[in-house]
Amino acid sequence: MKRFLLAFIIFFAFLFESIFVELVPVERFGIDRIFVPRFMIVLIMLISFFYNRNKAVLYAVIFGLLFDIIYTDIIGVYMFSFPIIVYVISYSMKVLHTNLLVVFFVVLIGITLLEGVVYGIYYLVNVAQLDWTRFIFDRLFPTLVLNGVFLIIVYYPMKKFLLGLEKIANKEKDKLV
Amino acid sequence: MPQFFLNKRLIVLLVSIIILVALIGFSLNDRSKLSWPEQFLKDTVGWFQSVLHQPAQYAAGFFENINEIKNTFEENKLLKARLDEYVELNARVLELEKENERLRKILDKKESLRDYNLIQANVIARNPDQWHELIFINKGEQNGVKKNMAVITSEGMIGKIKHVSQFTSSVQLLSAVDRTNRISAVVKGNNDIFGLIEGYDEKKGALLFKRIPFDVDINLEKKQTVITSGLGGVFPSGLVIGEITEIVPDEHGLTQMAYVKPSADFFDIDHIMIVERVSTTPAAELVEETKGGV
Repeated sequence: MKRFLLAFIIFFAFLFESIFVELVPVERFGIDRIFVPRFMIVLIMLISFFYNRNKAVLYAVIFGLLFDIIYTDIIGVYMFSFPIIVYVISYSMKVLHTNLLVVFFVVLIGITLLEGVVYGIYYLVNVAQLDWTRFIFDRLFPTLVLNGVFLIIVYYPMKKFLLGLEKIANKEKDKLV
Repeated sequence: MPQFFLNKRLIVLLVSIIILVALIGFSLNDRSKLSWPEQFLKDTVGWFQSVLHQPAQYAAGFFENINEIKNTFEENKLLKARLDEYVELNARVLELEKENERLRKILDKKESLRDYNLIQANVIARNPDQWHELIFINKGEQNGVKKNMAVITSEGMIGKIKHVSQFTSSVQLLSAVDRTNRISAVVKGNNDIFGLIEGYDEKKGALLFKRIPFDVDINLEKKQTVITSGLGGVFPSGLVIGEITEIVPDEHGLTQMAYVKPSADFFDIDHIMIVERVSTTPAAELVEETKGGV
């Protein structure tokens, strides 16, 4: 039951991203920066830290594909970049301690990598035409701020929920042994 | 760690890069139709989106209302003043319409480029990664929506239909970066000034109205309204695009170019209308033939 809840939470974050962009019109307040909500990948990164890395990568592939098909026209970009970033980022967590500050910075690095990879691919196929200084100042920094705030809000509830899931998984393993 | 390069991770990485390139190549081709799994996924997720969208809309609308109440008094004054003008204008329009109909009857001309049907639709989502300027609406092929139809709001034109699935479709906004996104346009009240809307200047927030000839009898001015001409064969004529803000010579100096500020707001879109042209568009085979010829 709880596992379905996890998939449901990620799916909700997936839908919430588009609603967030549509209903929070930053442009109307005269700010011409681009705030990109990356709520789903933040949650998936948290799953890789606190629950199960392989499951996180699986979620990244499935929801990356869904993101490509539904929100963009180019299939493959997010399906490729989501899992790679989750995989790389979760490695760093083996060395570091998991507290809010460390997780905060690692997630921000992950989002920077993601934006960079996506920008690179889109630049190659001529979808993105921003030059890189404008990419960094108008797009990357606002995105990091938005997702940093989101991470701080969801960190403790998600951590509690995911550690609970891990406990259930461990118990089931013990039963099998 | 030389082991890293030998183990299966590298192979997985390489295979996934190959798949990535293949998929991108597949989807960059100008597809006229989406495959059925894509349509199915889009419709399913679209249903969830439209369910979730309603309450979110109300919540956002509440805060907007508070903001609007502040300006209500002044707006009311202005609107009352406008109302008298409107009555007069309405009478005039009715009269002209009648006359137009009568003259048409005399000429025995039944359809015009100006005629169109509207399909009402609601926006259910917007692309979150904001590289592609796409919005998603809750009407699809089952409601008669077809690819490349024009999409307008009450303020003016906002874009065209990019992909259609059974119950939802996606709209590419005019502000999108797309070379193939051309609209044949004309300056209102002056049937001589033709040009093409090609591209969007992000810094100025204006559309580029290009390829206007440098003739003597053409005098572009600021504040003139630009509308669709209907000569492109896809859109009907008379849809408002925007207002000219600046006129400059083109890159090569042979033609002029004007910046057109779009009359519709591309960011706060809620309710839209899809425009179905009544006048027949040239058959697909015909268009292809001419393409090959020229």
